[in-house]
Amino acid sequence: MGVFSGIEVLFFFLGVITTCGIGGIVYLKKQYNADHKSLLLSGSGLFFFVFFVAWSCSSVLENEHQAANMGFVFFGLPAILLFGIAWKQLRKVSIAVKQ
Amino acid sequence: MPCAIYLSQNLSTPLKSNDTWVVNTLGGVMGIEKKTDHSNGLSRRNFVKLGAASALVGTAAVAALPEQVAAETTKAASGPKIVPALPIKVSSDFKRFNQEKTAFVQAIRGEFPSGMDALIKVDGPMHTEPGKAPVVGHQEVDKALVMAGWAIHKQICELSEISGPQDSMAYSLENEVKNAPVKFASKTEATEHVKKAATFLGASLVGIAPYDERWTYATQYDPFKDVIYDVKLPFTPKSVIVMAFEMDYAAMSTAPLYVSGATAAMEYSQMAITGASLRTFFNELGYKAFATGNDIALSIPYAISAGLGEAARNGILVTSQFGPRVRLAKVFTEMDLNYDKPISFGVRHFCQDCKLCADACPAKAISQERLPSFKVENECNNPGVEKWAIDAKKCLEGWGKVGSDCSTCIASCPYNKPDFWHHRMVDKVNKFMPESVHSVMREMDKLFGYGNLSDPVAAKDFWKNES
Repeated sequence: MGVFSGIEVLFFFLGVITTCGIGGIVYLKKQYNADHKSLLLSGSGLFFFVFFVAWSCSSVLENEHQAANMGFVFFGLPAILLFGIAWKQLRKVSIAVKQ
Repeated sequence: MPCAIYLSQNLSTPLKSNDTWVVNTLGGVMGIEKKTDHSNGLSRRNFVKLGAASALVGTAAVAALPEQVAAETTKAASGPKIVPALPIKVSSDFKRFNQEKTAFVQAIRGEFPSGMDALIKVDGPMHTEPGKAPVVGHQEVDKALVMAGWAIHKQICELSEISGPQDSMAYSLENEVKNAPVKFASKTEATEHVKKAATFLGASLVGIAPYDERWTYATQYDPFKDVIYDVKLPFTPKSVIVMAFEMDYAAMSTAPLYVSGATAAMEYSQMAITGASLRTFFNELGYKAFATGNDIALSIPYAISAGLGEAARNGILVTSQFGPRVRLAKVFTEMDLNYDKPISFGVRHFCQDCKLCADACPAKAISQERLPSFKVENECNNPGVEKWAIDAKKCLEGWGKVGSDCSTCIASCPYNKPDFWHHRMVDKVNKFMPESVHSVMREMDKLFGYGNLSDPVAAKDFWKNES
């Protein structure tokens, strides 16, 4: 990556992911009238996802691949779970609004 | 219900009579949802009430923790802090150590034959069992790297690592001072210049401690003259500049294979180069100074006093930046400087329950006792200091078993991590954890794959050229 170290590139992309994630949550709020519960779940999912990316990429950079995989188990899976629950909650709210 | 939740269900649990399963499609993701009829069981409202009651009981239980446990937790939670005095108990009858009592000197003097056998096995020509190919990390190329690491050390301060030659190019006590002493505007300015010079000349960490005669050896063994002599310093130093040299993480990850010995050897050479260079810096400024590696005085008490780290179960210094993965050197000078204060960041507290190093040690030379004490293992330990005493003789015999200078206690330590943000974060979180969680964190460290020993993959990774 030329003049930038791996960790610098990682933190740049973490910034990009966080910005896009927050943008997505704001979009959900405005477009789908998301309630507090689904916003909270999405926000928590985003936090876990960013943490998973940060942890696992850092572990790969330090050549500890098992730590990277465990990062997915401990932080990546909870992120997926939280996004799933948030999506379900959002569907419930949007169906209720339509009715 | 999304697939992830579906997957997390324990499918081996038999369905209850009041459970029904329905297929549910959401956003293109198909899953199976379990619907439970709670008419005869716990309703959602009651479940919430039960949860609230449990939280209250839990809070009350934490509040009612014994005062001592709470105090210990607070002590650990207080974070990296400066402590006013040496955070180790030293008894009033403490006596200066006779360096010839170390396992190394006993081995080379013929008083500890199995120790000498171990040293021959480690330092001698490579030995491979007949019919067996040497494992990755324990081959000719690895041994060559070890010898390359020692090259400069052998040229300028041979044998100072295990004994105390009276004169060597790097660690000579008598040094010529030609100029009149340079005056600095303040002690702070002088201290800043000295610290900058030390890091510029190759030290990874630097701290300054006041001279303390207790840590100077009473006697020392000269292997070239085969004599034991009283240690007499050429002047009474005012300040001791303590320098830590980081050993390479990738190389240390291969311990106890040869490659880990190469990084230790490399830093021994660096200690001599930087020590001798910093001594010259003082001499050029018009101040008397001399450099030492393992000789003349104990390094760890000075390093603790200079705020570089804490003493751990494995008998070595643990720094907050590099954990135990450092080597130490000292420069004594008559220059008056500002002293650093000892620090505490929860190492001794964590060591009480961790014991990863003690379990990993191939010679079982590290104490399994929970708390440090004044107990000693043999004459290799200097009595009068509260610590986890290691059995240095068993340790050296362990070198013979593994065929290298081991380092498993360094590689297995949970504080041995590269300087990455997530490890610093875990260190900080760790300080807020009570003792019961330390055992969990120790297991998590293993689960995450840290501290693997004799790892040929680590040795292969080490030799990869990433440039």
